[in-house]
Amino acid sequence: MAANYWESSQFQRFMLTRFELAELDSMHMLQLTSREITHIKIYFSSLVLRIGKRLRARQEIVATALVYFKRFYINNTFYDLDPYLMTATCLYLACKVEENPHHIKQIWSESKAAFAEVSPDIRFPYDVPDIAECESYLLEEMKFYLVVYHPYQVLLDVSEQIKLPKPSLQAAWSIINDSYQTDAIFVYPPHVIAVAAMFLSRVVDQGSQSDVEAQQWFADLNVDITDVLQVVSDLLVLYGLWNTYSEEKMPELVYRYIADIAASN
Amino acid sequence: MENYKRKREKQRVKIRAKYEIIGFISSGTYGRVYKARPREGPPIELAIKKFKPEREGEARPSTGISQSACREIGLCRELHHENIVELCEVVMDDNAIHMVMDYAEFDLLSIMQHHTHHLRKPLSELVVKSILWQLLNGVAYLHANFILQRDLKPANIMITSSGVVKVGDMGLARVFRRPFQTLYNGDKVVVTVWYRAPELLLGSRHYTTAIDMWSVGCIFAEMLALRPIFKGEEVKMEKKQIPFQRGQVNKIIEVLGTPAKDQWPSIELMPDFQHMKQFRHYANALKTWYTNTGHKSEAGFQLLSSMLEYDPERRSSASDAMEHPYFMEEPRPVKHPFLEQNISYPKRRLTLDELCDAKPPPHPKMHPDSSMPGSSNVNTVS
Repeated sequence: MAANYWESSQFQRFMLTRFELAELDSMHMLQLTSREITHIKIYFSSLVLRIGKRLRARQEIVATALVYFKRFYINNTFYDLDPYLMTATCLYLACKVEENPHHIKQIWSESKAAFAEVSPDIRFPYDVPDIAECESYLLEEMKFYLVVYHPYQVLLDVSEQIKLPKPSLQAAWSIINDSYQTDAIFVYPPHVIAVAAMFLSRVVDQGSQSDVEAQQWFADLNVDITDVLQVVSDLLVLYGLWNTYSEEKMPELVYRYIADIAASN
Repeated sequence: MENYKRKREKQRVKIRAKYEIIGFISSGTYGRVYKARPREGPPIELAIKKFKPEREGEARPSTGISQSACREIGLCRELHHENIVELCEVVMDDNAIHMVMDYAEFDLLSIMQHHTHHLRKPLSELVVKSILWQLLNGVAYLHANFILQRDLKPANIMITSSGVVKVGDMGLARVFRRPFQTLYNGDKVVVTVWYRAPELLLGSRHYTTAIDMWSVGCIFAEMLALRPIFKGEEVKMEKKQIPFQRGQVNKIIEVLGTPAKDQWPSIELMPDFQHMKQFRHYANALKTWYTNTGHKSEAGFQLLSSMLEYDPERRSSASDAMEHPYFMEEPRPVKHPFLEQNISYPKRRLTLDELCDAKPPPHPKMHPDSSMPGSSNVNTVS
């Protein structure tokens, strides 16, 4: 499993087509514009990252938590379960699964602090047992499939192989982080995302373009290039939307959205 | 959360609506294991492991799923191999997690005990070889997937009625690729003491798949002799201090001899190396030990020695061991050794408890293994 993505539950059970993803997004279209949908994705990714930083959790843990978050809301709405509570819970479970457990009280207090830092409007009226209870729902919803594959390991393996210069490696790493604000990990295998990130990082980092070995490596690559370009294009769309994103407005948008779903139920 | 809770409760299927609980198999710190069969579909036998709710009697969970349940479920969900116990599904019911798994009629400990106490004769070479080969096959799969089992011992080797090995109990298993902290920091004590590798006994902070191979070597030896090869007295932990396992180390050097520097170049770097000075000098007596078991195969001896190498770097890997000449020699290993040799062992004894569907018999008997040493003494400290 840890060695073979193709046999993983992630590949066999949790992959979606771009069409299915669009269908899922369209379910929110009654209440939200497509731009707002993306903003909400950016918002909760940044919240998970923020709590993760406070816990000094490494990037894979944050990424695993984000995948859990997304998996939960494929068949549920923010009205069914408060996304702020789910954010904290996803991190709690991801820390355990990635063998870097934190005490539940610490998760609770760091989450509370992170939310307060973002906005006083965020309501987090929960206590420690709420996270534990929420965890059991998250586990059930995911049918207890907990192992998640990420592009980071692929990037590290490849960068060693082609001696990727450190700035390019770092740039690619950050681009992979950004990819979790899109749904790439639900559509493409991790290596495709890693290649897309490396590709994009080389565009950004012109300095190492002369690296013949890396160019040859890209040329020899046996990866569907249209997939890679699709990931790149999704990332570019995301970067475009960053300009219109404003974190201060998000708590209100989220609560308005939840109230709208409640009203339509 | 209330909205989701209502929604979930409507979907939830009760474990006993889906499965008939035939009997109670065993219990441990984690909870209880039952034998069951599905109420619909083909009449197969299954094992259901019911984890204890965190704290008995508490209305709400307080810290959620335990690290060990999280490991076991997370890993088993991804593992699919004929020599690894298969996890069919996980059901949440009655605030407890239930793992529905393959059922195996025997475990290696109960089979060896049957030979010791009832048949009073050793396991046949075909059986030993077939079980060992399948065990290696399962362990090689785990290692190829960057998983350490960390608690290999006869009680955790499940065997079906035809003789197919299923490595079970992944509660201590973990992925070792790119650990965030040393494995030692995660769990201070791993592997039941009789099966614990010398590098662990000497306090190594970093360890590898070689620790599982040491356990496999011990299990191989135990199948040959029908008693643990290194049956040391465990030093109990006091005041959360991890003790040096003097008795266990002594048992090992009595058989394998005092480790010399050229045999294990990095031994002096082990944190607890200074303890080695307290032992008297022994010569290697493994050959004598092996001869005394009555086994004659030289290849078998070579294989055993290669798994009981002191130096973890020189110890045989599971995939190399599978290629060993011992397995090319007659009798060759087979997939269903019990069928092949027409052997049958007494079935697992079941008892009944309040969860079971049948009525309890007038005189319930305990499972014969539950009081045996080494069957439930996993030592974990987190």
